[in-house]
Amino acid sequence: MTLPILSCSSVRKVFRSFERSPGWTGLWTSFFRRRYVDAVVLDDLDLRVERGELVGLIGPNGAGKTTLVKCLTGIIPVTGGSAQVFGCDSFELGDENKRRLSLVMGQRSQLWWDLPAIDSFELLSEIYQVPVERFRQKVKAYAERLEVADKLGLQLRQLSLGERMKMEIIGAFLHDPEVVFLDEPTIGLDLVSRDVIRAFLREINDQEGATILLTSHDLEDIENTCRRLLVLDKGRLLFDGDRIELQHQIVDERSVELHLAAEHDGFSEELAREIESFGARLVARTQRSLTFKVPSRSTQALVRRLFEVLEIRDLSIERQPLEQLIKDLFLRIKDRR
Amino acid sequence: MFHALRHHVAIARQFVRIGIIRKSQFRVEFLSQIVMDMIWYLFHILTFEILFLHTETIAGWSAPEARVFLGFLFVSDAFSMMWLGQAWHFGNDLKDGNLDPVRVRPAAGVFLYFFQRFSLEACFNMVIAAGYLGFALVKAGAVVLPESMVALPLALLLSFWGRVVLTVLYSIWELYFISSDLSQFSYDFFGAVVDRPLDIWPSRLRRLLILALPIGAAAHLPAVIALGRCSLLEALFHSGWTFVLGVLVFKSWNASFRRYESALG
Amino acid sequence: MTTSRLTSTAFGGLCRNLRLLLKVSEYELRKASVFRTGFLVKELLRGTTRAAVAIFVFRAIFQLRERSTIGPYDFAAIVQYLILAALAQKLCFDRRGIDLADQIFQGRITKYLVMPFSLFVLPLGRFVQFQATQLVAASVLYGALALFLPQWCPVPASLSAALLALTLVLLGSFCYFLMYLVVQTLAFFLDVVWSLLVMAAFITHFMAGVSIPISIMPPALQETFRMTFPYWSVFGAIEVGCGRFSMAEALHGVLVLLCWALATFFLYRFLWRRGVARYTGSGM
Repeated sequence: MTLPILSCSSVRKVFRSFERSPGWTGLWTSFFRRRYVDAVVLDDLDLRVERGELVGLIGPNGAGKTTLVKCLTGIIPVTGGSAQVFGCDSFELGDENKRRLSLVMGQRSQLWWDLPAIDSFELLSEIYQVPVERFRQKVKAYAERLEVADKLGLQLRQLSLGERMKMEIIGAFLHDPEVVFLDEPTIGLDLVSRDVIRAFLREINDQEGATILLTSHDLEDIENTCRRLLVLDKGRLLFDGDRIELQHQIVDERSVELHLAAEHDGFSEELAREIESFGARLVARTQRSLTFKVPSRSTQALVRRLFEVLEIRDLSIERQPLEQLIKDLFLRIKDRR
Repeated sequence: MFHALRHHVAIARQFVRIGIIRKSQFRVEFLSQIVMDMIWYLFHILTFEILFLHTETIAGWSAPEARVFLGFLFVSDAFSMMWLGQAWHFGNDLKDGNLDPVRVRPAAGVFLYFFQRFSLEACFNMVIAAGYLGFALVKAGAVVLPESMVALPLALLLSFWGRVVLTVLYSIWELYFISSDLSQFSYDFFGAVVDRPLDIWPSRLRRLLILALPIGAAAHLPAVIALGRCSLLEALFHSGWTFVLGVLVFKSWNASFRRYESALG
Repeated sequence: MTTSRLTSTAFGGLCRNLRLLLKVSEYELRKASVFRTGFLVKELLRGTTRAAVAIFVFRAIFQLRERSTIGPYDFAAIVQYLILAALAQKLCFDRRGIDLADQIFQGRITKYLVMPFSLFVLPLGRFVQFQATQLVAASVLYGALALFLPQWCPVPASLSAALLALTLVLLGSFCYFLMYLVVQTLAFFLDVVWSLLVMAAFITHFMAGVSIPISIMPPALQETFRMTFPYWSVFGAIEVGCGRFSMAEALHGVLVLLCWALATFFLYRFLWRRGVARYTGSGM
């Protein structure tokens, strides 16, 4: 078994702060005696990410997404357990391994604010030791791809939010990182900019095989980009799988509507029993259409069988938007608590 | 090691280039910082000149020798302003989580953070400071060939190294005591000690200031070396010791990041 | 509006601002004391090394001199002077006490401009907090000195002299506060004011006679500095407290400080109004 490119084993991260006591009395008493509060931001988290995966990390505010990214990139140490990148402790990564990863933070610029983007890129190329020719090719290709080629000479502070984020992304990919962490890269961006960035990330993952861990509150980012989902809440991993898996977990039944090529007289007893065996039930019918309610996990099998026995002209399967799935997941967790 | 050195020199070249680009945008700041440093030089020169109106020596330093001390103080300060300007922002950067890139990028964290803000105007101040140092050395009769060819470069290197080590040392305290502004406080607190020859202190305290904290390395020891007030062996010992202390300080700085919490969110 | 309504409106506004001032002072103290060790270390030790360095410089000078005085001071007198100068300097507002310039650059004052209060209350609250903290710190240090090193502890000429000296220092601190406020307000017009603040601190430090008494400087410098507020906030206050300046000179000092305070306050208001008029609120 190959080593995962990212792994967390019982990772725990705790931040300590103290409680504020109100008023002047509280101010004096808290100077001499404080009540400390431990905030458990990551709680016994286990995770493996293989090379080449494109993973989405979602969760409500305060779930621990950014903290997890910071632990994995070695910005902050874990309080317990171990976080590893390339098989090494993420907090003790050497320069050789740092050269293989990259980080983009949507809420914090990592390029130099008062410099033209191209100057920041040149500095990054020196830090990451990117050969000159390759650097020039990359900047040209990425700038054209992200439609900011004419903005490279402008100071970062003179760019719009979308343009700035595109520059951040170019800066992050100049050195061909093997692992890229993107923490809310589309925050505050318009729809067009988001689409451009999503397409760019998919291409990089497909063509260059970079492993990407993307956090976002915008579930369309995740839906349109990632194949694997990690759902985090209160520092714990609630779900790890793909969208279909999530759907199977959350959605009990799905609606399948068939449009037939010819008028339908009814099912044979045998076929009716077969349909029943999938757990499906017929909920509506017209002469040329049939609507079934089927358990989520049996949908694929039922549809395959129906294609074998019926002449189907058109088919539609009810698809829950990811946002709804996540909401339902959290509701279930809340009910259980 | 050589490869790492070349890498960092290449990054330093970029920092210089960026510093020059920056200054072309903020020309008023460029001029005001030159004036600011000149006022600081004048303040120190006036203080010593007024004191020497009332005495021949201060702790065994005559007026010409005190000028050499001041020359090294100015030169090391100009170096600090030239390369270590980012240190002024350390407290805020620590609180705001702006040290994240330092942790992620493949180069020495100390170098990437502290040396990123190259100041072109400090180059002008360096010229002025070096000019004053040269003048002071000549007046003190300290330019004695061929000894000075070894002593002076050694003194200058020690002066620059001392500044870097002190700057990083002050910031370590703030890594442990976040939100305390202790790095800026330390700079002010120990800055007053750096600004005068260490011979004003009792001998035990003087030894502590030279050996335990590299305060003497910024101006006192370089002046002592340049003036020939110590032997070459002593000069090499102090330089070597300060170098070792510096390496330990840098390692401690990296280790201190275990305390770093970044900014939440 | 009738006179009584105007008066009550003005009075109401004053009460509101006073309440706000208290609230801001509380908030500033809370902010400053988040990290307790750092707070104690900074507030107690701020400015003490400069005094210690100056004392040892003069010790070195006196050790080798044939005469036992420099100007009007013997060694004991100069040590006491430097201790008082350090205490006075502690009480004088520090240039890092407010960050108005950063707030202007970063557009963080925008929200205050639409609020129904005078933004001056915010830095003033910081001043009140600073002054209260430093008064306590200076008292603690003076008490410790009186307890452990009574032979070096400076004693005022009389209670009235001490109170007059304290008045000069506090007025002087207010002048420092206003001066830094004026410089920081230049952020509306200039890109960077940090170097101006540092220059102001150097110049006033020298003019205040913190490291060397002004009375041992050349007479031309003494006469020039006499008309400035740093002179009266440190050197002048010490001379009044030790009985070396007469009541008339002390009152002259108070007048100089009041004039500087008024002039600086009006300059601040002028710059603020001009600055707000051209403020775009963009920041970062």
